[in-house]
This record gives sequence, C-alpha cells and structure tokens, in this order.
Amino acid sequence: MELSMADGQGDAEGPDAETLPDEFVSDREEGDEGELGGGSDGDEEEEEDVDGLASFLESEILSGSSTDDPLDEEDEGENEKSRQVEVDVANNKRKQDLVPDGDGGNGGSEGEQNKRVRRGQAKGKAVAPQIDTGMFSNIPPELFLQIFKFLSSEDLISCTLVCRFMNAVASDETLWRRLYCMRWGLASNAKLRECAWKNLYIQVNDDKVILDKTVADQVSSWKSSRGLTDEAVKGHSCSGNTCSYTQIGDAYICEKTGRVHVVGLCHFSVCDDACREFVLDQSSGLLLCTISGHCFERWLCPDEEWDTYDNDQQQGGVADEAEPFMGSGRFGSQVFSF
Amino acid sequence: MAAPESGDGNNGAARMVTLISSDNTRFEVEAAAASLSQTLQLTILDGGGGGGDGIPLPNVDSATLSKVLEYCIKHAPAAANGGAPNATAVDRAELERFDNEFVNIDQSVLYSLIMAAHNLEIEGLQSLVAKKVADMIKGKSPMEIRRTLGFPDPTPEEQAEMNAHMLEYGWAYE
Repeated sequence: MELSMADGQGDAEGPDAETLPDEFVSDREEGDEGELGGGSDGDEEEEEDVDGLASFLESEILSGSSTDDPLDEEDEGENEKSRQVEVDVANNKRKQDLVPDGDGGNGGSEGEQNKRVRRGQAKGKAVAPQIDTGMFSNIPPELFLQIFKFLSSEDLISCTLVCRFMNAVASDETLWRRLYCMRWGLASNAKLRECAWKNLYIQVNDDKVILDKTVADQVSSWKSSRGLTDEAVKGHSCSGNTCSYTQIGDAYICEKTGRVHVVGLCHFSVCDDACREFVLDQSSGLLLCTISGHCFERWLCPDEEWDTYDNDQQQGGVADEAEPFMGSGRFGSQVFSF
Repeated sequence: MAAPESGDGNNGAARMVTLISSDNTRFEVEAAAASLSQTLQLTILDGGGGGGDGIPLPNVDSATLSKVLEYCIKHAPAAANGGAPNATAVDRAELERFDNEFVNIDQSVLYSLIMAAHNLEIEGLQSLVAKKVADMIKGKSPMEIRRTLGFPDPTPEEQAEMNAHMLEYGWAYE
C-alpha cells in the first residue's frame, strides 16, 4: 500500500518532480518501462472504473507511459498551469459541447497550443486532475492520511471526489479498515474480507453484502408472508429484550418490523438506522449482540494486520479515537457511541 | 522544569540548545522543549546543539520554527511528566486552550507547520495540525473542500467525473 501511495503521489505531483525524493521518481520510471506496451487512449480511460484504487494506479502508470522523460517534465513544470488549461481545450474539442474556463485564453501561441493539444490528447485525461496550485497540494500522502484519520466516512467520500490524488489517499485501506472495525467490529466472516475495506464499508451500508442470496430470498418471502415491506416502521427500536425474532440462516428478523439482524454483522439493520443492537461490553472489551447473542472478537484485534493501525494510534494519540464519528448525516446519526 | 536528560552537570539550570533555521536565525531553547522533536532528540542526547554549535534545520524557516518552538515550550513540561499523569484539570484545560488558539492561524502558516512537524517528528503537533485541517474539511462538499484547501476549480472534465461519482456515492449525501 505504501508503494502504491508513493506512485499516486509521484504522478499527482508530476510538475514538482524535482522536489520529490528520488525513490518516487525512479518508481515511476520503472512503471513507465513496465507498462509501455499498454497504450493509453483517453476514451478508454474514461470508461475505466476510477473508483478502484488498482485501476486508478494503472491509469496513472499508463498516462505516465506516454509522458516525456522526467527531465522534460521538470522543464515544463512552470507551464503546467497553462498546459492543463489547454488539455481542457483538447477535451472540450472532443466533447464539442463544453466551453473552456474563463482563464483559458492564457495559453500561448496558436501553433504551440496545437502542439500541446496533441500532447494533451496523447496523455489522456489522467493529467488533468493533477493539483498544481494551492499549498496543501504539496502535502505528501502520508500526511494526508494523518488528516483523514479524523474524518468520518462521509467526509472521506467527499475527499475521494475532490480529485484523483485525494481519491487515492482517501481510499487507503488503513482508513477504511479503521472505520469499519470501529463501526462494525472486526469482520469475522472471511468471505467479507475478500474485498477492499472501503468497498466493504460502503457495501455494508449499501445493504448489498450482508446476506447470502438464498437467505435473502427466504427473508424476503418471509417478510411478504407477514405483510411486511421494506418501509421502515417508525417509532420502533429493535431490542433483544422486547422483540421476538425469527431465525433464517444467519439472519434474525424482527417479527414486528421485518428488520434483519445478521450474525457477524448483527447490529446491522437493513431497514433503517434504528437498530442499535451493538453493545460493547466494557469489562471484556467484547462486542455483544443482544439479539443473536453472538459474541465478537475484540473490536481492536491486536494481532491481525494491525501494525499500521497501531502506529496510527500511537501517532494520533487518544484524541482521534472517537473523532471519525463526529460527522452528521446518515452515518453520523446511526453510530453507536461508546 | 528541566527534563531528565538535561541533567549532566548543569545543576539546576536547564540545558539549552541552539537551533538554526533555514534563513540562519538562531533560536536558543531548552533541550527539554527541543526534544519533543524525535528528530532532534537523538542529536541532543548525544550532546549536540550546545555551546557555539547550533543544530541546522535547513527545512524550517525562522517564522515557522518560532511557531514550532512556541508549541514545544508550552508542551515540554507536560511531556517531561510522561504525559502528565499528575497534571491538574486546570493545566490540561490551559493546554487545550493554548492548542486551540495555536492552530487558529493562516492556512499558509498551518501548511508550514504541517511540514515542519512532519520533518521534526513532533507527534503532538502533527496530530494537532492534522486535526485542524480535518476540521476544515469536515461537513464540506467536494467543491468546498477544493476551495478550502486552495485547489484550483475543477476542469469541466473533472467536474463531470465528480458528478458521476456523486451519483455513485449518492448514499453519502442523503
């Protein structure tokens, strides 16, 4: 992951290549040689799934493959701003429906501009999202990680939308693993861990991953047989003490509302935010579900992949532990505080 | 007040070290305060920075260094007490008040502080400024974040990409 971040940084700050440590530059050069045959077509890149970090990095490398050698790039660093504007012009020509920004007229002579337009098309869109102004654009990724530790998932998503560089940093596994584990406890289900923590976090919130299809079907038919819909029932808060539940596979369904609680993610409700069956046993440090009775591993597991996390903890001190949940909105409102 | 490592032979008087900023300004500061920097700590433990020799800090200018040292001097006593287990609530509140005011500064200064705290490895300061920047980001839309952090406005293409992602992540904006 660290290496990936270094690559992302190297490309995102291409114009400032001379200020980067040598390893960043050399990493990129290696990438260039390795991926040279890949070809970089702008339209093709537009179709890529920019959400995935892997594909993001791939596109960065591809875009680098058609970049001139680093020395050339350094020479042109000061022209980066105008070049980016011109890249916009190139892209606009392709789309034929957009008008360049107001400051698009700064772009040098026409002949030079045409040359640069060709360059822009060859490089594809990956060059455009680079940050070339603003103080905080020079912050290395590891420092952005420190900053992002204090953010809620909502704010992190906002950051992923800011630009490709921040997308790469804000998609960092350690951040999302941390959020996931603070929110849901350590995932004990191995099949859940096959996807990235960020996707896992989002998917769980998106109600997509919690149930096997067969169980989901059973739940669905059970709910329709009871006349329960997916509409949330207002004014009801599920509790292991007051509700009765029907069990289907790993799922426990509240017989009054049809809310589903799943062993392994047992405080989770597919219906709305009212489910709070997530209890941290202060004495043992274990997560308990009052419905399924399932007892979780310690929510901060000391041994599995936690080296980075532990470092974060040490650096961040105590103050940041509860901090990511300070956000408001859908996520903030359903967070169990402890 | 003096840190344990400032001891050798300097009965009572706190050992002082000299730090030299990138623009050649010399700062004399208690070793205990400078030792909040992990980077400087080893040098200082080895006896560096005393007497006429200063420790050059080519990556930190004088304005930033004075700000950094302001933090270090304020936090040194608590750090010397090993996280201040016996600190009073008043002391802690005072430090908190100091911290809040300390980061209530221009973005350019904040940026310099982030880099300096990183270079000097001052954990508390790193955390403090990171949290400040995070506070600036919190609750903002991607566009507002761009502006807050001084990024240029998105190109039309970037804007289209952002819009597409907004739809994709629509759940985060309900």
